[in-house]
Amino acid sequence: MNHKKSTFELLSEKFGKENFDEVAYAGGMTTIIVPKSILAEVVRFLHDDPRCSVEQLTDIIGIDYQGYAQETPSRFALVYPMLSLSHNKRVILKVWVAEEDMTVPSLTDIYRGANWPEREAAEMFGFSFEGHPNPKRLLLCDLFEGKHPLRKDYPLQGQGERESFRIVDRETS
Amino acid sequence: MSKGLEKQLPGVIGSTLDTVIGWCRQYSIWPVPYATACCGIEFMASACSRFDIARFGAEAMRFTPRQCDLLLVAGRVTVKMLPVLQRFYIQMAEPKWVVSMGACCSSGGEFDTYAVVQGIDQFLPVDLYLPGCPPRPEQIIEGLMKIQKLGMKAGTSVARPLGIVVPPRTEVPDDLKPQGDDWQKPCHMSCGKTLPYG
Repeated sequence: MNHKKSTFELLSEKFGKENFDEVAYAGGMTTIIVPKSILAEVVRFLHDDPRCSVEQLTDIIGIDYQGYAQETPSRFALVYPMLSLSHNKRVILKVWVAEEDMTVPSLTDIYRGANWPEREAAEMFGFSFEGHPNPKRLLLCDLFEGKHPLRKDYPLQGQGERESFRIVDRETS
Repeated sequence: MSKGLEKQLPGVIGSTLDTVIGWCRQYSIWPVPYATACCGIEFMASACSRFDIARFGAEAMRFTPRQCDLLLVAGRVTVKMLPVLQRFYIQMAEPKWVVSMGACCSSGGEFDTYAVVQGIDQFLPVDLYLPGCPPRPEQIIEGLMKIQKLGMKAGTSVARPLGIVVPPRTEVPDDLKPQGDDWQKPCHMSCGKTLPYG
């Protein structure tokens, strides 16, 4: 096991340096930006390779960058915070997703825990995860069928969902 | 008529059956803690030994609508939860009362979003409001006492929903105030007001 090489260097070695970009934050944390086309292979490599052995996918987070102050490569992004328990090391992947093509490869065949976070991201932002075993909506009730409330262009107060109930009064109950 | 009976039989008090049932009902109001958020914690506190709503005969919590008189909605109600709450209310047997506890339940509170109902009184007949975030247990007990007074009259026709509001009390009697100056610190970082008990 080579302790000197970072995950970014390992990935660059395996898949080619031109594919990746690295954003560093304070405290030694880095986010590795991965192109969508090779996401599944990269995660498979991180999971299987003993130098990385990332056992845990912590969460899947969708981001809508509409109206963001700086220019971004595309409107949406997905962030995959992952944890290697054996190396005690965190890996954060970020994938830019264009509004025109919201299809993203599903990670459920690598991490079973990706099932619900992917369903949540799909429901809240409208991503479509390719190869997901159960691509149903997860959290919201039927009033939100086909709506994606965490998108920036969705009104905060909703589109009348919270007012659309029958009124129970003393006479009818 | 009852006076004549009392005169003939010493030690007997005459009354109507409704009054007797109402009196019994007054001291056996069974609440259902429909606790969806942090107000439920405050309700638990009022059920514990320091405040002890068992003194008012209301300690028997039931989690089925069939056995309850008082629907105590404590916490925010989301659009997913509201049909459940309505069904719960319909399944309760008469006489029944609804208490809307806390800011979120009464008005949506700070959660002015697509997923939270802005006050359950839009869709349910609410009899008693307990404003506060959360209301203190004293307020819950005061509200319960108001419901108890109505329990006496449950057989008669009382206009519903009642819409009683129990305001929060911020004044503490002198003999209950903590000693020293500690308690007069500003209550919140941004608010800066001085309130009893911080």
